Amino acid sequence: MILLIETATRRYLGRQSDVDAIGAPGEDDRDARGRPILRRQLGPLLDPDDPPAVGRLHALRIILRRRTVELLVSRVDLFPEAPPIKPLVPFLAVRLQLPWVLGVALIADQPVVVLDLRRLAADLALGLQLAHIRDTQ
Amino acid sequence: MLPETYLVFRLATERYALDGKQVREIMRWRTPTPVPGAPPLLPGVISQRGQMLAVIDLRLLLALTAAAPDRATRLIWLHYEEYDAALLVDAVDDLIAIDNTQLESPPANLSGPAQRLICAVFRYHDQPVAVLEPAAIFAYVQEAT
Repeated sequence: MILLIETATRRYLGRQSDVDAIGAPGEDDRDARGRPILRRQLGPLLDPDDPPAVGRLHALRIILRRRTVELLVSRVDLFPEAPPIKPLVPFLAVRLQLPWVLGVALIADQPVVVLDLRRLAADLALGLQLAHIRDTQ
Repeated sequence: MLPETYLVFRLATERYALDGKQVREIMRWRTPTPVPGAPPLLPGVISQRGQMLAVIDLRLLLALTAAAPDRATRLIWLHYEEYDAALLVDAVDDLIAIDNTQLESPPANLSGPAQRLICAVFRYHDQPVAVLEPAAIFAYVQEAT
């Protein structure tokens, strides 16, 4: 099973198994077990040209050992059949700042990036971010 | 010796060429799907005939200033050994036959990426054309900042 995730202007795919829950964004700073919640809009986190989504948002909740990460997106759909995922060509894969991309799949003839959401959440919890975010902080 | 075919294309005001045997297809510009965390010289991926191709911005690879795409912008599907990519260029001029005797060594005063990427030059309509080495393109993409 794979998730088709929409941000304000982009689409991504992610493994359902990476996500512990999908729902409305919470307002608390800690989850039920007292872990701090790190809440981020997924779109601008990945792409400086993707503005924050507005309106009703959905949270992809990923529970880590010491933290919970909530990735906020505009829309999430579940695909029962995952399309074939092609890995990135090596000369592109080695140039990524952080290994958050598992590959690319075709949806309606358009390439869609497949994210490693659990790795992304773990890196966020460690304070790792892409350069366009670091440059604006 | 039989002449070889070369695809001549433009970047800014300069003309460049690739060995025609390594060119699979020339495509109109379409916006690639960006890959999070990739450098600007790799602006994304496209799908062409079922093959996923990473786009390489040749302007940025050659340390030229970036340019917005327009009606003349093209993507050149370059195939070299196990590598495939779509090279982003300003315009494609022609596919021409060049005798190897017309090829000259690149000028000694080249610097920067051009020094590694240009393997020969020839004259076309009395203008110099720089031939790019595909192996050097793929090697340089992995190193360029």
